[in-house]
Amino acid sequence: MLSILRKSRLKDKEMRVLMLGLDNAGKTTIVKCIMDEDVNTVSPTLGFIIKTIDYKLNIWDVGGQKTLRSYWRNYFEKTDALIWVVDSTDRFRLENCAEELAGLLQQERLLGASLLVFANKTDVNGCMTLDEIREGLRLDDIQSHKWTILPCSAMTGKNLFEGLDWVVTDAKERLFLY
Amino acid sequence: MDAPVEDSDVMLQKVSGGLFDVFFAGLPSALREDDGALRYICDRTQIEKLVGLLEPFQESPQLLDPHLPAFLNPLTSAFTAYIAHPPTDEDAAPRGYYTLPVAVSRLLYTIVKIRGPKIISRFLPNQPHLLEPVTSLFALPITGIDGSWELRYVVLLWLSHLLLAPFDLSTISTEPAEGVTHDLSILEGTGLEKLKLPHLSKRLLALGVSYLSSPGNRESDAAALLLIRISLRRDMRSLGLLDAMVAWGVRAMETVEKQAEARTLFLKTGVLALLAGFLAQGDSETVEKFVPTIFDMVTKIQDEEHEEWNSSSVRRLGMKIYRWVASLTLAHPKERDYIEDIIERLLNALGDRDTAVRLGASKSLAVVARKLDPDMAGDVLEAVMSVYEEDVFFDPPIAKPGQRQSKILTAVTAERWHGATLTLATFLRQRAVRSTEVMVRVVECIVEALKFEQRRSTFAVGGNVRDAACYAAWSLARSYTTPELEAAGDIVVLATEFEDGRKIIQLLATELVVAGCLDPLGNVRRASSAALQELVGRHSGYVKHGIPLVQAVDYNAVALRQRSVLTVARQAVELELEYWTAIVFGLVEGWRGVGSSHDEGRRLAATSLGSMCRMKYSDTEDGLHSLWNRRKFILRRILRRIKEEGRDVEIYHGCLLALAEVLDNISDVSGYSEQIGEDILSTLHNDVFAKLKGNELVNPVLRPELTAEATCRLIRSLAHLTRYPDDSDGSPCPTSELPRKTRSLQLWTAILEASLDRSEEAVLKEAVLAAKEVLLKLSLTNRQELLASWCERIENPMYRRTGQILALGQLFDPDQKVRERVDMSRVLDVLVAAAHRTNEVEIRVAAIKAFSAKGWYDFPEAVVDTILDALDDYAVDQRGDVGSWVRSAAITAAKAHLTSHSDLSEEKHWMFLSKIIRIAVEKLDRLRFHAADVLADIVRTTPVDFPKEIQIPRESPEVYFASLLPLLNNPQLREALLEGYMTSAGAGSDSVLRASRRALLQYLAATTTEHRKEIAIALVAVFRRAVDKTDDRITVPLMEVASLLIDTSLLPLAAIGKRMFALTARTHFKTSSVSKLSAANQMYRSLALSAEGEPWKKEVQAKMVTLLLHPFPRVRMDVADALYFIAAEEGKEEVAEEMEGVDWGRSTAELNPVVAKVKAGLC
Repeated sequence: MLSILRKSRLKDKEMRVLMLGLDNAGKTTIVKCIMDEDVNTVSPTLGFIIKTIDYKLNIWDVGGQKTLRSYWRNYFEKTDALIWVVDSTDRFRLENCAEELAGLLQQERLLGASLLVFANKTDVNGCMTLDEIREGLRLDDIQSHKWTILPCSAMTGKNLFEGLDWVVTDAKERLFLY
Repeated sequence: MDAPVEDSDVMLQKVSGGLFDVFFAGLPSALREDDGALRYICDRTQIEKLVGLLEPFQESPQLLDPHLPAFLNPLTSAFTAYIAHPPTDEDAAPRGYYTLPVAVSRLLYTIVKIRGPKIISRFLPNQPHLLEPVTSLFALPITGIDGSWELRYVVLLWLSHLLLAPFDLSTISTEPAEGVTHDLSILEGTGLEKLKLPHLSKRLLALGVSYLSSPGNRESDAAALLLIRISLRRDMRSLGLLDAMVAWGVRAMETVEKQAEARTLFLKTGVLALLAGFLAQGDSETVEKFVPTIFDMVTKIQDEEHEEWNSSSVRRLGMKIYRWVASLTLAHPKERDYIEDIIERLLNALGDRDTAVRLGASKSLAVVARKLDPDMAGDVLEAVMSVYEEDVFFDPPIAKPGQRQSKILTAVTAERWHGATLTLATFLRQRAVRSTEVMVRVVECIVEALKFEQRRSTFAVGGNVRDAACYAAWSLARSYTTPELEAAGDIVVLATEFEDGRKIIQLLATELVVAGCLDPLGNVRRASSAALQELVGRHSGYVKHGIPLVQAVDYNAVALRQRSVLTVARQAVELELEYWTAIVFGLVEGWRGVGSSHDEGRRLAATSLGSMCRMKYSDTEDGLHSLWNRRKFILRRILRRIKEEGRDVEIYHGCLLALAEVLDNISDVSGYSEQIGEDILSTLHNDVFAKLKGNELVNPVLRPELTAEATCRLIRSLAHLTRYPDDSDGSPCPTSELPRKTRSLQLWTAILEASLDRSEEAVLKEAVLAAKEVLLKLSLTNRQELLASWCERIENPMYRRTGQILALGQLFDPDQKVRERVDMSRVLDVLVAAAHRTNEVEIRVAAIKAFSAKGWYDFPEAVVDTILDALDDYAVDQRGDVGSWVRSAAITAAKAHLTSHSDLSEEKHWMFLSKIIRIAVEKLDRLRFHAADVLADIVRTTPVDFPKEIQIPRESPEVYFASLLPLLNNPQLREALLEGYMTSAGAGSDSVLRASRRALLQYLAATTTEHRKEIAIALVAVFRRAVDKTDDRITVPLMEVASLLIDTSLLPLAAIGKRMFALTARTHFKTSSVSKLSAANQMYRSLALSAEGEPWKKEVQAKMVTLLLHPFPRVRMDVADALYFIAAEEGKEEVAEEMEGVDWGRSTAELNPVVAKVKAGLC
């Protein structure tokens, strides 16, 4: 029993977070900002990046290029939370973004995960409002997942940690119940 | 059973920081040159040292977590740098070195082993461009890949991680050099169009398939993961790879070979892992279609009892596959229904003989049950819990109304209980128990499993069941909310022995406390402690005194059994009467306390019970809230158990010991018989011993030592507590008491007599103590007769026991009454005579021990002399130095006499001092320290002129010896000390010999010439005495040490040389002992070499020359060596030349001419 306990203690401490979104939404920048790395040297993500925060939160940041999207499902295994990053300045692709998200949420392997939508780049003038995005992504129709949306900025760091806190608290609640 | 090193994990946590620092300091230089360039060849010892730093963390992986990036980044960066610039020369790593990849993978594997492959692979670099070069590593023998399975494992793991790359493999793959092909013939006939596969995937497939059947299961696991990842990739799937792999796998499983080779079994295990992985990791729509094929294949293997089903890993994987088949079909119901079949198979597997299979099956059951609708899940749970009723017998078989039945679990299958308990635990973790009513039953099952044990002839099983029960309790505490658990209200669980209803949380907590304190297995105690912590932590306020309770039943505190049973149990019961009751039940009933199968366990339980009856609470006069009621409660319970199960000698033993401990702890003696009540008293005096016929104390089959020990123990307590009216004032015993008194005393004396005839130490210890109490209670005439009979027996030359002797020693007790009107001079004569019995070491030891009473008695001179003689007991028999037992007892006795007697003459004091000091420098470690301890004690009170404080440090043997050597200044002690010292410096164990010699040489070198002379003279005196007695124990080592001292010029030869020579010559007079001859030869050699200008030098040489014709060739050779050396030293070249090349092994007749020439040359 002790070995089982030890294992489950280790698992308790860890959460797996999947960060997805269209290309150029700023996923990698968000990760870099969280990790306190230089955010000015970001180039499109080839493949994926894994980062561990406080050795309990594993963020899997997967590239958003169209060609890569079909591979997203490779990463679904045991995901506790999904962070969907939206480029608030990109009105043009909002519909596209909504379709991808809706497709994701139907995946059975993501059923248990909670959803955090980061409306990124809100420090840029003329970006969409939170409500616009919310409507555009049809978030209010989501029944299958617990979700929330937060405006944020990967350049200023606004709301990033608040978002992670939400993910952690939410996951903790579920841990207790299941 | 007990933690080998106490609290080792706490220790590890403390030192971990330091270990990490050492690791980080050593890592860079192990992998890179000083200028940062890679070392292509790494020092093996350096790497292994780093591995050794990590190994201790196997049990505490969490300590590594904060440092993982720092551990792994240097390793992975070195690895990638190596891949970017592989070495150009073709040489393999020399002996004692690793190639860089092997070195890195040794370290990586160690970390993987500790922290798990899933975690570690996250830290492996995942740039897609690495896929190709990493694959190529297998084709580079220079890396050492063929000789290192760790490297193969790490590379396979890395590849499976790289395969997560979100790009079509065809875009990464490069075309191979001309002529390179990969053998994919195994996929022939599976409909796969191989040509379409990118080259890279072909290589990976070939790799994966070839290592899938590796006998090392690490490699095989990694290969399976690699194949799973590649086959499930979207691009590969679209080429039909997944279908092909499944088809191949099923076909591989179906090939039945007449002669099953090991390799085939490995392959089949690997293939099953692969198929299980497909079902587990693939999306349901992609893998659903394989379900029927795979399921049919596995059931076929199971039902037709194929060879491979005997392998536990195959069965375990089978359980896993059933689980996924069930989940897949439940998610998307099909016309074919597998569920019932699967559940039945899983239930049956709960009793599998292999733990891993049981664990797998129970996990699968829980997963499946969670997906079932509540009704069906309830049925499954029912089925699992029915295991606890299988094969259970009841006693009595049919209960009369109101009668309690107890369960007899001898026929149940421990494995099935284990499987069922594990399943309960997993069910609970997944909250599959949904109704309160079922919850109550579950709790009952947990409580029963928590105290499950099955005795086999020589061992017991059930530890795993109890461990699983803790896990179940832990899961329950964790997965359910307080209201859910409280909803059941007050329940009564028969197995707890409690008759009042309690809430689930409190009930479980109490049971966990009992298991945490009393379970014989350390890991179960620890598991209970962990579960208790969870229970208290998650449901704070619902366990009485929860926080202090958790602090008492602490994870580290319960590591040692003794501490748990005595200290932890006491701390826990102090908190609350409920815990007291539960612990008392645990100690009295069942097998964890006085009914334990271990002798020591029963003794511990008895001691613990004794302390239980001292516990005080804020008491009233009501029920168990009254101190006396609690005591009577314990007594009644024990007495009932003796009545019901006293036929079992072990239980009888435990119960009697417990009774005695309880009686001893009822300290307020005056009110004892009134308080305890007539019924208990009469049971104690009569019924308890009723079963004894006499045979129990003699017949070896009935384990008489246990009965003897326990009865004597109880007699001691009973006799001590019993006050007959005529004891105090001498008035005659009232007639009403007489029969009882006579009966008891007769019985006690009989048991005592039988027990004193036994030889086991545990029995005698109790019997001797009981003897004193019984003697005190006997009438004067009876006592005299008993003692006289003992004395007579001891005097009989055929007497071989020791009990009576030790019992006589009790007459020297501080309590005068015990020797009232006893003929003490007779007793003393008998004992002194016993102490001098030759050839009977045990009797001598016992007699000396009898004299060790703490000086309350005025011993005559004869006893003192006896002890002095015993200090010189060096008897040896086939068991070795048996005299050491006598000496050891004599040291203890000497201490008793010296610290309390003031009228000893000064001469005797000196004698004791010198003998004890002698033993304090002798070769036997145990005795040396014993003597040193006593020495430090006695010098404080000794009236003779001697330093009152003496520091004898123990840090190392050398400082120990050095601290005693200054005593050589004391003329009275000098010779004794030298005599003892010779045995250490001349014949001690290697370390003692070296340490004592070093200390001696340093001491002599630092002292004055005058003192050296004194020592030399004393040494000669010792030598002479030993030679007179032909005491080889002294002479041989003395000669060796003396020759060393002469060689180093630390002995002034002028004073002693001639006498030394004469004594040495006497030692080997007509001896055949080679060791003595060689020691003597060494002496001669040293004397001859150092005796410059001494008149007796010629005599020495002449003596040596005669030895050249000694009948033993060995001696001739030794002497010849020495003489040759002497001749060369003295510049007598012609003699040396004469001796050169002579074979001294030839017969003495042939050697005569040479010897004559040597003689002429030297003398």
